[in-house]
Amino acid sequence: MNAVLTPPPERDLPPAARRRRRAELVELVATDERPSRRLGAPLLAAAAVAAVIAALAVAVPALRDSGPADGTGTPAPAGQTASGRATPSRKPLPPEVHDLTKAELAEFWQDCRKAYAGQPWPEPFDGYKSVAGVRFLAEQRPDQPAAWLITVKSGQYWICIANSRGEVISNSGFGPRTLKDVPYLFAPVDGRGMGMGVLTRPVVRVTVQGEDTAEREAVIRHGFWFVPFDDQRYVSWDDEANVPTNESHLIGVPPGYTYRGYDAAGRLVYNSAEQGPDVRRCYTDPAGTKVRVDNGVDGGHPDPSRCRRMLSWRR
Amino acid sequence: MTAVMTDRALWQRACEGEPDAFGQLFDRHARAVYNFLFRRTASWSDAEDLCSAVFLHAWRRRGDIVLDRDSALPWLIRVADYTARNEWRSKQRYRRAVSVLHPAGDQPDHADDVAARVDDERAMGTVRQALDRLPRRHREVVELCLWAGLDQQAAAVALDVPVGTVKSRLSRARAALRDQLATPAPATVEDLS
Repeated sequence: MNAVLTPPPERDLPPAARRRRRAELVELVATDERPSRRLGAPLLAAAAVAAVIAALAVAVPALRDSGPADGTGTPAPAGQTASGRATPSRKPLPPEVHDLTKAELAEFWQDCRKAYAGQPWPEPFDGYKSVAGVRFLAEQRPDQPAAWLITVKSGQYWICIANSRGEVISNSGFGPRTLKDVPYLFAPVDGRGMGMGVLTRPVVRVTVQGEDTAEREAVIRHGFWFVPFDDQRYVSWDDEANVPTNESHLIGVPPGYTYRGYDAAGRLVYNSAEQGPDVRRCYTDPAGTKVRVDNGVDGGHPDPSRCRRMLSWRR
Repeated sequence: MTAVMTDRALWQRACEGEPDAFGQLFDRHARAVYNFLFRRTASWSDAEDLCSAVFLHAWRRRGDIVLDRDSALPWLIRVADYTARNEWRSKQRYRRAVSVLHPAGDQPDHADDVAARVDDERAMGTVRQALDRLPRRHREVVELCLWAGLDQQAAAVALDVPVGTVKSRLSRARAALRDQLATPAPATVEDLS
């Protein structure tokens, strides 16, 4: 080609610009809830069809039996679509939940920032963007969680937790830079803090049940689940005897509690009482190549083949 | 040996909630998109802004993606073409999206190649003037096949036309270029070259 039509040689983005642009995009992707345009319409249509089918599934037997149509007219649990309600219509009703407004999110974020300012760890919420928040309106004990704020920075999530008085009582995190944990899930319904956790596909609905209580519906936002319950009794470990100090051997599941996960068809696909992550086992990354949590197995140096694989976070 | 994930797998993971997978796609294709945009705009600065806009737009149109032999690049180039043609709107859209993020620690580059980049822009301006004498359909295949190095199938994906159309356009573009080079260039091009 003639020199007149030969462009200058290719160049890379300047390194600092490249890092910044990449970080911006990763954060935008992490926080962007806008659905794909082409997918949007079919999904809406599918949801509408599913809603009609779900309504018919409930209404037709109710009309046939001439009995009360339990569950009809009840709004879907917060965080779920009608299509996700293929569970029996007599399931416990969800608690009343409030999605925080923009102003409430900003206020909550300020409270969290103040509560953790100056602490080297957990990280202060400075620089984290609020993406959602929920509050259970029923009165809870002051030591119980009632509201959660989800914040994110560069794919790293921090959750701020408050009681029903609005006092910040705890926090939790998930993501590649979380210090206390690995960026994978021990189970499809993974406990990660006070009254909360992470879920991954195929789970779309989560319930939590205590020893003497009914299943409670968790609210799902941004791949996290939330429900107020007393989870102060996480498993602890007796180093000398190398055994758990209580009867729950499950990671992230307090003794006496059961987490259940349901798929979009309403099928129970996870039950922590039967499939929960045992604290006496070791865990690898999802590929099964690297031990991420050894739990003292084989003197702390287990072969990956002896360990369970952790799960990627797929929302 | 580390297995390299395909664009398809990375795209799937990004859509399933792994933002870093999208970051890896950026790592993989940002240079090609950035240079395509530079050759379109003759401005490194505009190309940088638009490069981000391309990836954001691609994400928001993720349901539309067409992979060519597991590569997302041709489709990203298609998005880049659209983004460059709607430059002002694309930049505004990206700035709006970024404005709600935390302020990034923006450190200026003290690039040694600033002068070279200025030279690039001047040279590219000249090249663009020459290319702009061709019809758009010919310009596009020159940009994709001759400058960006896409093969004809990938160019077909980028242009959203059949491969046969790319072939014929490329053939005509080459002929037009030969004619152009045989014809005395207009004064403006001579002045700049």
